[in-house]
Amino acid sequence: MSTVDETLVKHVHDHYAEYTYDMFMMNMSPDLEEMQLFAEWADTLKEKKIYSFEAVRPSAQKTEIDLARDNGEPMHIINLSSYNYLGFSYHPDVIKAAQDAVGKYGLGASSSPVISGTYKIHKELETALEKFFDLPDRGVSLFTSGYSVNLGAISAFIKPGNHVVMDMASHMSIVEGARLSGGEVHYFKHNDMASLEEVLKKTCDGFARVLVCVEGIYSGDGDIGNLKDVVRLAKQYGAFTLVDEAHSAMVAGENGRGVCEEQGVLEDVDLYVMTFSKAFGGVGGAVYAKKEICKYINWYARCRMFSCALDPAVTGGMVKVIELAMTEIGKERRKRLKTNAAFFRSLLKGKVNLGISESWVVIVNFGSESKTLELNDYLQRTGLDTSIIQFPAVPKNDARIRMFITSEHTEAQLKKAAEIILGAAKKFDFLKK
Amino acid sequence: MERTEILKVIEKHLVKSVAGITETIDPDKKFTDYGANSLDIVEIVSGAMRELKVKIPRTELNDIQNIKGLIDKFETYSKN
Ligand SMILES: Cc1ncc(COP(=O)(O)O)c(C=O)c1O
Repeated sequence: MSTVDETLVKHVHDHYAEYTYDMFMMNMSPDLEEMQLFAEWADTLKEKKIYSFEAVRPSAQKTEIDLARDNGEPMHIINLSSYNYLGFSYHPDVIKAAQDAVGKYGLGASSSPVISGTYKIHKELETALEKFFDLPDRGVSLFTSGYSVNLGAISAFIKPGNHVVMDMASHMSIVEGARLSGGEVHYFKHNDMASLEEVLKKTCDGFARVLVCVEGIYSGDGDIGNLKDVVRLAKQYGAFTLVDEAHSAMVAGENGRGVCEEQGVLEDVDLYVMTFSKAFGGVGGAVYAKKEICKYINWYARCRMFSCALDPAVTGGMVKVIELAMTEIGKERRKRLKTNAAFFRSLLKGKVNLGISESWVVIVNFGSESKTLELNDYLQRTGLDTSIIQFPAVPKNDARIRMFITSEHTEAQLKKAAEIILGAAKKFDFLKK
Repeated sequence: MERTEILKVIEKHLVKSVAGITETIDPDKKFTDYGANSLDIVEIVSGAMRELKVKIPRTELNDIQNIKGLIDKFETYSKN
């Protein structure tokens, strides 16, 4: 590391505010320059007490919690930064179920799911999910994260010579799954059916397989996918569809079957992707598809085959979460989440730029990523924790405060959170003019 | 360093990263106009830097508006 130019290191230290995260993605020389510079940058931010990321939680991700900055500074915040939409991650019955499972099966699965890592509890989870979605001839393929579902399922489904066609706003895991597959990658304009059709016309030649990838609720924009038309167009051109319902499975739709249920296309979607890290309150993910597709993915998704199965404790917790989600508790929490989201949005509407978001993923655009550090520091210090996103997750100069509303937030908490956002908007100049 | 030479290198990396580009590259356009996503852009810029053996300071990469803007930066920093 000693070969890195000291003047560059000093520049990062003295001009830390001019740097943004993405600037360290590039590797420009054979030494470890970007790593040393990034370390210098992060250390400087900590020294200046504005490093608000990775703050440590001493307890469960409830709606209002204590946390401690990297340097030990304590803070008390309203939590709009966890995906725990229905509060199930800390439901006592779920914790108990996870404890029972770890007591029975031990800590780890100790093997790939296709060798000896499949336990009875995994089968119970598969059955619970099949009951939850309730379509004939469908099965699930379990993964250890939502990210790996997209990596594994897309690369098992698409081979070199085939095409992946995806919405420009798609999550990084879809982008990376598409790249990993070796197929040709194409983007269409966000939620724009004319743009999708243009790409389908070019790629659907009756010979190559084409997979169209979209989301139920777009994670970076908080808006709802136009699934009905996507499915219709895909069918018309003979393409397959993957819908990532990370932020909508268990939440959207009468029975929580997602935006697919809401728009009446559940049966028409070929690969329904869910993650257990959001409303499910755990970790892991699954693809729900025709049984023969799942069987193939189980064996040909390399990141599943060559990796250890889901841990028994989380798996046991998930079984309980699904059981609860199918009762009145689930119904009531889904309803409360929607009421909460609508209430919170009404407090901000017209005052800040909510972009195109229209769900429990609430977006406030603040423009340049150069504001991110100071803004996030300010929000946390004034008592609100959010999930900031910026390039490369979203386009450049289009950075956003992203907030996840849950069914468990109180009206008072949401009011306070909105006040903090509006205060920040005034200070950092992103009030709607 | 000639601008046409720089453009050729950028073009090569753009075509490598993004499927299906057949038209000639118009420097007044943005990478996103050719269907490049954020990861593609990072790869195109860093690939071109390695090939041209020119380092553009990291803080200068922020204000590049289009392909022409990137060529300008390469031209400036190849002289240093
Ligand atoms: C749309 C989408 N897909 C996949 C993922 C990845 O899920 P996980 O956190 O389970 O890996 C996320 C999470 O951020 C997401 O928003």
